[in-house]
Amino acid sequence: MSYSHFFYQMIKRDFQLAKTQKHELGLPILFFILVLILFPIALGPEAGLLARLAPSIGWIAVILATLIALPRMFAEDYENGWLEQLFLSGYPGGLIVTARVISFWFLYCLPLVLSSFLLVPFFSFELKLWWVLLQTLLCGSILMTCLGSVASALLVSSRKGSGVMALLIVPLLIPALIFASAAQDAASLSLPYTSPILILFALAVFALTVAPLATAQALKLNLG
Amino acid sequence: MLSANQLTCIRNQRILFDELSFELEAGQLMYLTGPNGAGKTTLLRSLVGLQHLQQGQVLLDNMPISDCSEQILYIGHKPAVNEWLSAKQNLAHWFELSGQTADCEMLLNKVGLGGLMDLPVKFLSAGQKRRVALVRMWQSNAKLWVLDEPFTSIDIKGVDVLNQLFLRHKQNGGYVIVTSHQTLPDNLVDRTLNLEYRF
Repeated sequence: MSYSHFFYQMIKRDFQLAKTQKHELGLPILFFILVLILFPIALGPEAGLLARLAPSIGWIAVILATLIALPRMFAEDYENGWLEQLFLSGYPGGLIVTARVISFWFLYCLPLVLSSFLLVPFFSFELKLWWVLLQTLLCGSILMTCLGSVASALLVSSRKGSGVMALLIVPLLIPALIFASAAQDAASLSLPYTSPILILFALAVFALTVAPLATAQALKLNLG
Repeated sequence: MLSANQLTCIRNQRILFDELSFELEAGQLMYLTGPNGAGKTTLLRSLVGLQHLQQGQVLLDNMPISDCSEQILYIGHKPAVNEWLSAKQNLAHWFELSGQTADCEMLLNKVGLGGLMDLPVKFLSAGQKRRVALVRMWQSNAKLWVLDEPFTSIDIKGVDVLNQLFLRHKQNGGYVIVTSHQTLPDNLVDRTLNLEYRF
């Protein structure tokens, strides 16, 4: 089987599995929406304040919601033995991991990023500024998935992953958060905001290149 | 020929086996015995290259085992069966991975899972789940079969079928390495390797 066909089959299996586990898929989004509902209620109806806070709340909610899903990235396949069969099959570990990272991003992160649109009605957030937030979140969520894949692989054999996972990933996300808020500030002052977004994009591409190799190595360590 | 040279494995500061060497000719079955915790599973995993070894190498027809991934069928304690997918879907993924085409429905009918193949595997009994994992042996092109406790939860009739499969594989010039706490028929076993529990 060629690498591209193998890659396609891996992603197809992940989507097939997701279809049977809709509750797992919905949990992070539900959490995300709940956070977005709670903030306006707690802060009160002052539109200016809500609109100013919206991008940071959006980012934090996406980070927290992704953290709920991340421990599951490899856990199930590790438990049932599919992962060791994948590594025995002779395909490169980086390829196995990249396929999983991509399907994870499509299944868990993309819906979260898109549902950040709810900030527009809930926080009277400007549509123009949401467009900037969408771009920073797209790059940021790729970065998050890649960093998360390494952490998830390291913690796959310990059952109490989620707390340690947050400790591992959140500090590494601080630079991304800084560039995202820089872009947001610039956009809200009608200044050019492309350079921080480009830096975020570069971070995402770098993570997508390096993280699969680290993840594959971490998984191998955990398997034997 | 399958040859293991000077295999040494230390886990949690305990030596499981050191400088273990053996050779297996084509068409031979090796029966691995030993008490719980002696390192049978670890030895099997290191034979297929899943376990890191402190020393030693495994050669299949004079090739390092890591280059022979298509020649290995490893069925471990973990069945590589996803509980949420149906037996048919599980098998289809398995054959895609090993690059084979197979008639999954026919195979599942053969192992007595005829009416259950579209049900998520979590609704099946332990023995039936095990059968889903073992179906791979019917269609395997691999030369080396490494099986960790294949008989667990399998009924008497199923054990007979497995023994016949071993025989057929041996006659085709394959290698079988199997651990089990049940005894295997004498005509099947060519070699026995007993691992001792070491402190």
